[in-house]
Amino acid sequence: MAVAASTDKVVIHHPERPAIWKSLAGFSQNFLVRRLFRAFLTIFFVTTLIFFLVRLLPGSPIEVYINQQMTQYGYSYDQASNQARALFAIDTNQPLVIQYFNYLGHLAQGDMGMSIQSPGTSVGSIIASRLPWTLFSVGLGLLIGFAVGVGLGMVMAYKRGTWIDSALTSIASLTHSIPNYILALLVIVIFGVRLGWIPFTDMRGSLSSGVHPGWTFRFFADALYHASLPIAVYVLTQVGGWMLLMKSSTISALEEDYVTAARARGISEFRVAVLYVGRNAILPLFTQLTIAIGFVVGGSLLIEPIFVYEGIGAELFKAIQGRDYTLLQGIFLMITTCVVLANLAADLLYSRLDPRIRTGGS
Amino acid sequence: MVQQQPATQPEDSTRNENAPVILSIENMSVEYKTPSGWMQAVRNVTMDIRAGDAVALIGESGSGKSTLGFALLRMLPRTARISSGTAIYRDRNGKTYDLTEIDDKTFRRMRWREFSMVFQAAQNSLNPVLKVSDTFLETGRAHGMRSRHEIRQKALKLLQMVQLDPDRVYNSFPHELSGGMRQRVSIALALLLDPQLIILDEPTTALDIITQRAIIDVVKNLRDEFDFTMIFISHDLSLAAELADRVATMYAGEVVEYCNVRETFYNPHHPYTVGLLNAVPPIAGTDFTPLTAIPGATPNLLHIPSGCAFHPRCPYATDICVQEDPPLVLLEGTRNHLVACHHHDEVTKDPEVWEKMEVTAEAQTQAIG
Amino acid sequence: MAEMSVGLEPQVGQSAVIAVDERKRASWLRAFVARNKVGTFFFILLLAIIILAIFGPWMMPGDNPTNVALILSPPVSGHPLGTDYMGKDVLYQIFHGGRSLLLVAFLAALLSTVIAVVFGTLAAIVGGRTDVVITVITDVVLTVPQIILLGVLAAYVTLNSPILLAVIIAATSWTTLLRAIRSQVLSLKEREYVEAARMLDLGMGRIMFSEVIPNMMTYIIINFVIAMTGGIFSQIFLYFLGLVPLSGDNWGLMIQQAYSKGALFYKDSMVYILSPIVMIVLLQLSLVMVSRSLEDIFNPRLRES
Repeated sequence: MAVAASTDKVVIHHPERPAIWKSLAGFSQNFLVRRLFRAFLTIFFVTTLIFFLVRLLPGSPIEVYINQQMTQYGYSYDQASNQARALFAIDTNQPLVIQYFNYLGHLAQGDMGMSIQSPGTSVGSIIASRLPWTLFSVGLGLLIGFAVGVGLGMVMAYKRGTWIDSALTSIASLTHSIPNYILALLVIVIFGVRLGWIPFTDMRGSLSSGVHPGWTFRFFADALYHASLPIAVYVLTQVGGWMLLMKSSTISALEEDYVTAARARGISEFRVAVLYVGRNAILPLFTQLTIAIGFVVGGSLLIEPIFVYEGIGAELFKAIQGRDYTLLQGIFLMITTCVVLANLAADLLYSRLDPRIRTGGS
Repeated sequence: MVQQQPATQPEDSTRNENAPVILSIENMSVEYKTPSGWMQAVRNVTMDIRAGDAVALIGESGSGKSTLGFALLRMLPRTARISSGTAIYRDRNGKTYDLTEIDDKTFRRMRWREFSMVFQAAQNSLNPVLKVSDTFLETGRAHGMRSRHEIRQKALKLLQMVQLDPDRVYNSFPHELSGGMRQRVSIALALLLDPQLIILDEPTTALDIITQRAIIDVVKNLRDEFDFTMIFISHDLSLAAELADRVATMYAGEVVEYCNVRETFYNPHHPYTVGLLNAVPPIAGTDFTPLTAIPGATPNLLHIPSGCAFHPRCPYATDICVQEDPPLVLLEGTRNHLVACHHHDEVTKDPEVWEKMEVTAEAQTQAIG
Repeated sequence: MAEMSVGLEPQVGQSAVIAVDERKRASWLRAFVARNKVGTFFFILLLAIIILAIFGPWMMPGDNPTNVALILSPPVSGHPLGTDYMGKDVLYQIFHGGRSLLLVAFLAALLSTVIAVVFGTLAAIVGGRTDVVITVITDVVLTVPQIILLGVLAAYVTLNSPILLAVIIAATSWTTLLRAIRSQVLSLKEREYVEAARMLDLGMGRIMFSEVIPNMMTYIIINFVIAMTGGIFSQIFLYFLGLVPLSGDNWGLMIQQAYSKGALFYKDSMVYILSPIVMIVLLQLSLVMVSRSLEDIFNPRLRES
């Protein structure tokens, strides 16, 4: 996770600007409206990018597919393009603009086409069966990593200059610099194969055989058991970043006058730490959350295949390796949508935590 | 300790002359750790504060006035420590505590119930993520006020008294209020638990002149309403003239003169107090003497001049001033005018003394360092 | 991170001053080494890895024959790090496998830094619509998980040249730096000399390249180093996905093969697998620590906290 200090306020100074820009600027003053706009644009960008890749790139998958059908199976162009339409949900006989809007229309109805490699299976159904596992493991990994990082970061700040601080800082720097997939490989090679501490082959898959989804303890415990290695890696690779960020943020919050004032009022040290130091120190971390979410979700693309966890990342890995374009486009779009929604949730929480953003103040 | 003398001169009496001493500071020294050694910020301060008094701590920045205030409330930064001295505090029931000795838990319970504080730059002394109401509730609850309603009633009354629109301000976030409004909220907050003593650290410094005026009026009214003792820290003599009963002038970490406010302005006996008075326009009267600045600069606290710390800048300085630090003694013929100067009987308000003075080489060096 | 020591870089045309600066810098370097032992250690480690990567192929010439008799061997004489699934020597691959990795990482970092600096500066200086457009595009691309975007894009092209590899990595990794550069320039913009240059109507390009960018040089260098770590991360990721044509020796390829050929689960192959992993971890760690030390040198304000 690249940690870069930056503000992302859209500042517009321009004395003379047309009305539309003025109203857009006024519109963009509201934090949540701005973020909704960004979310919409992001999904739009991804769908358009997919259309471009599939349809317009020279040697695009759809052309390759049609040519393949014609040369290998002797179909006519019409037949082949009909086949392609069924797969890609794009009709190559229509004008490009119509194709584009039809494609958007199909997407809006949840029609992402059929998988090339698993004939007769819709992309939607594959995603539906795999996505929940990834949401579960990645979501839990993000939450635990953030919570632990924030907690330890505060400890480091409160104990700054002591051995606890230097030990935690070293650990944070180390885990922060090791790529997540390398960490996953190390877990298997060292703790799984060499030391035999982790029964990683037994932990493969998303559930043990015989366990069925339902509101049972057995199901949740088993799901957690199978997800624990990916989760551990997600936590370890992001926690260092949060620790270092929270440490510096807490140190500056500790110097604020309102913290001194709260202590002078006899507020208990615990409440000062939570309500005065912690709550203010955590705010700057939200600007990094977008990157962290993307980082962990992206990580699933390699972590899941390494641990053989049957989530959407492992499915995307297979789709990329097998050039199953329809499937990989669908997964790409779906993952992006989830990330966008996660970002919106984070933004909503942020605006709850910081009244200055909520009311559009300074 | 202030030496007790029979009342002789009516003009140096205050309304509290027979009130009990509620805070007795003795020989207090505070030092800061710096890369180049321990820096003496407060040196052997001894002073008594009586119930109902309004004491102004006056001095230039670096004189140790704020440090003294923070030391009393145990709010020094991690790099500072009280190196010697006691501060005996007497609560309303007559029970006494040494503020430098009692454990943190007792101290925390006493905060805000016994003594509260209004901070410099009150703009930042309110938590930006909490509503004003939450700050009042938090503070009340930390000291055993259980009822939300009770705290609210008290807060609204206080906000009214500091001339704010109580309901609106109570439900606002700090960023929705102006600087002056936030300072008033801080003052109201300081009174929430009816403390006996309030310390105001530069309460008007960051505010514009009209807001300053309003804050002074608010504090005056509140003192009439609640009978609290007040220490306020300021570099502003006019503020002292408005609000104080007694003025302690501080220089290089020491109290150099401590007397009733009228004495400070009309009968000062320390050259530094005189210098300060000459450096600001007169507050009352018609004698528009030209303004004179004190030559030189405040001393580097890592290298405090020998003897009287003020001697390099003082027009009265003689050899004894270089050798011996004058003790704070009772001025003859007064009941409570204390001064620390070898030549206090020669000191006059005449600005010509200063104009004639040649700045010594030492003072020049100090100014650079 | 607004503060930057500009004085550390002698300007061209100030030859009289340079001699003094050089001397100052030498003593300053000594002070740094004495104070920052960890930073110095990682500086040296990074240099060692770079030297190994660049000169490795010349240090260990010849070819690396397959040996079916010695497949997945633990360390034996002649093969101090063991052999891979085809019986090839692992040490040989370590010596040969860093060069292209570093080269592509360098190119990718260079490209993404250039994109970020040019457009970030442009957005901040021109302001107005240009700024809005660039900022919105950046935000949008930033929201899409970078590594997934990279994987998906790479699936559509054949990554058969180092340049193409660097381009596609750079295309997906400029966003965070652009945002950082933009806010840097916004704060620089407030300073007098930029103001003055604008008054003199020196022209946008002139202001950018003669006033703004030189003042951000240290910041850019630090971020370039961080971008290198991203370039390495992304490459190994692409190798792992099998999207880079599998030829030549490369640490990333070694990891991919260890995984795909099952050596990962073979106890004797521990050293074989750990070799590229250790190299990559040390390289990443030293790059991160070096970027920290650089920040420490150029931005001493952070040191105290």
